Amino acid sequence: MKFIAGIIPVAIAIVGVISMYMWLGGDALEECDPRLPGADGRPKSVVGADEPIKIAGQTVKSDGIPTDLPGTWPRFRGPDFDGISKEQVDLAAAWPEQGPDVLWSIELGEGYAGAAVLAGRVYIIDYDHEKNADAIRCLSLADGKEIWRYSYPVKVKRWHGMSRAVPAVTDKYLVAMGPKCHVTCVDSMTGEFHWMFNLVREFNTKIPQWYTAQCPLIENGKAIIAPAGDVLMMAVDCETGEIAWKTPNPKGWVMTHSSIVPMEFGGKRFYIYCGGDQIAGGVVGVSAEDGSVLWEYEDWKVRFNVPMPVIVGSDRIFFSAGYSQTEKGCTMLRLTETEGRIVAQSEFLHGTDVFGSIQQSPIFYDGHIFGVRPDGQLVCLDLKGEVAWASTSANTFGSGPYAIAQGRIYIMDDSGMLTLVQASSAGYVQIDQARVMDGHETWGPMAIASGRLIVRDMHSMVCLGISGQ
Amino acid sequence: MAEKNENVNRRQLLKKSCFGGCLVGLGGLAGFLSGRSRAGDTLWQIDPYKCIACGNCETHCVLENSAVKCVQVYELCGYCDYCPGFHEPTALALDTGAENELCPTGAIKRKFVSEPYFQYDIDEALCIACGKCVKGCAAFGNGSLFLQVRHDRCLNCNECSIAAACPSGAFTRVPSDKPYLLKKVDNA
Repeated sequence: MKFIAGIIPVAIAIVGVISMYMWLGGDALEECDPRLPGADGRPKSVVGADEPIKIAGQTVKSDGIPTDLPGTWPRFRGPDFDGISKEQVDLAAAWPEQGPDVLWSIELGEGYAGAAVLAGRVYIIDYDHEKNADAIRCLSLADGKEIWRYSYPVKVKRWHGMSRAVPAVTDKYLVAMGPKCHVTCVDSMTGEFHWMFNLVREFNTKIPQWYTAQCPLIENGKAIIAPAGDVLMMAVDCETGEIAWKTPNPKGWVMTHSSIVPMEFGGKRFYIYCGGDQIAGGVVGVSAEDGSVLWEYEDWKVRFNVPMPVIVGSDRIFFSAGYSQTEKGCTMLRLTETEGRIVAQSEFLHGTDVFGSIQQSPIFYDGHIFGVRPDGQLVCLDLKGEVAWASTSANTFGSGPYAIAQGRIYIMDDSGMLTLVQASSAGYVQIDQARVMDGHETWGPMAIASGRLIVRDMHSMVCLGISGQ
Repeated sequence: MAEKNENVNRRQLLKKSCFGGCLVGLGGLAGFLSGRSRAGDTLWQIDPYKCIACGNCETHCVLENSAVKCVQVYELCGYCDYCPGFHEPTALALDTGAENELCPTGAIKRKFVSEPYFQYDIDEALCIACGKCVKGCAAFGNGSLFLQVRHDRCLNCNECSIAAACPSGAFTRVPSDKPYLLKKVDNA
């Protein structure tokens, strides 16, 4: 009995040791399914790499006739890159019950690309679904009839729409960016071809998610483009297509949807671009003279840069974002110059709960920033980053565009409801509201010229008469 | 005529008892199932337009693995490379690495379809109803991912502890012959 009593603990101890050995010796992970990159079967090929470098296009004339209306909105955000119309045209302070008159409307290929207006003409980049082609179209501002189109074949699949960028137009040139990063320059009056760059093939640009929305700009006869591939930015002579200067891209910033905006500070003119993503990216000021980097700010790293930087006075720049990253909604940079060197420093950084903008560019007007937050509310922000007012959850505008003219904000929601709001820091004052479109995703940037407001949804564009006469 | 022996021995008694018990059990099961599926009766379901993806569905179900699961309406999905319901907002790369996925259990399977589209499927066995994907999809996507009570798992006890804990009143009773509340394209 004593023997049995003694052997039981020993036996238990032996069994325990053996069990522990087997447990520790076994591969505890053998039944786990590791979650590793590559399980989705993504091919290694580069998107757009199968496109030809140079694509032969064609100009086709039609019977549209330009008007002699003087209004201009020659690029994204208008003449001064600020989303404000400064024309001295009497605009209606309120609308008739049925809303502003629809002067004309046209069908478009799927997309969000807004219009530019110059010399009685309306310019858009469209997608021709039947011919599988990007189509740069010149329409009459009078009736929307087509004057000419330059199209080139490129297969573009639906990816939340197709064409997105607003062309830049001067009296001589038009430069447009297609959804798959084809940059084309044509004669703005005749549509005759000047040159084309395929940024994917020639500069190793990676097409941004949902296709590029970068709107080109033309200054002094040069197109300013940010390929953000082998080069970060470049200036191209519009007449010859020769590259005047290139800015290196040593940190490998990728292309964003944001567009370049010019600014002058300390006697220097430069182009501001938000490039890259949340890992490698930031803001850069590139000399308009030779493409050298005058200043850089790397703390504004966001995955999706869409809004254009907003110039605030002589020395500040306001940046906004908000798609998926709620902690980086907006920041204000102030530029200073020390011993000939420009330095950018942030004055505040807010999450999207204070302010952010997913896809439309805010407007600096009368000492305040106006824009739509990701929660859909129109917000007035002072220059210290404090919210002066928000339109409340009863007045939301989704991801729709907005512009200011004569102290009033024209603001669209996602589905064609146009609202007129007082552009004042005193509070949200709604003046009028009308349904002007029945379509889906009325997100295309607005253009205002000669008392006309041009807006679009996914499949169509309308020209509204907003003058007071 | 000889009188039949009516005596029942112990073996027969046991046999008949078992048989009777089985009949009662089958009857009860049939009644239970018919009660669950009878038109006119109601079941618990989540209104996807009221759900705020708070996470209570994961923690308040009486089942060890919640009866609530994420569902995908393919008609609404954008099939994007960057999916706010699949990727972490700060994902280092748009791939299937665990560090880049929002889902803590890897219940969303991402599959390349053709350039530029990716398909996202739910593995219900892995889904714990935390709602992280639903929140991301609703905030920045098309809202094609949302939560539903799966009636092949729900006990339908009529004392739903998730419904009691739902902060947005999204739990509602629906007819048992229409047990799911799916989003529609027109409402997207």
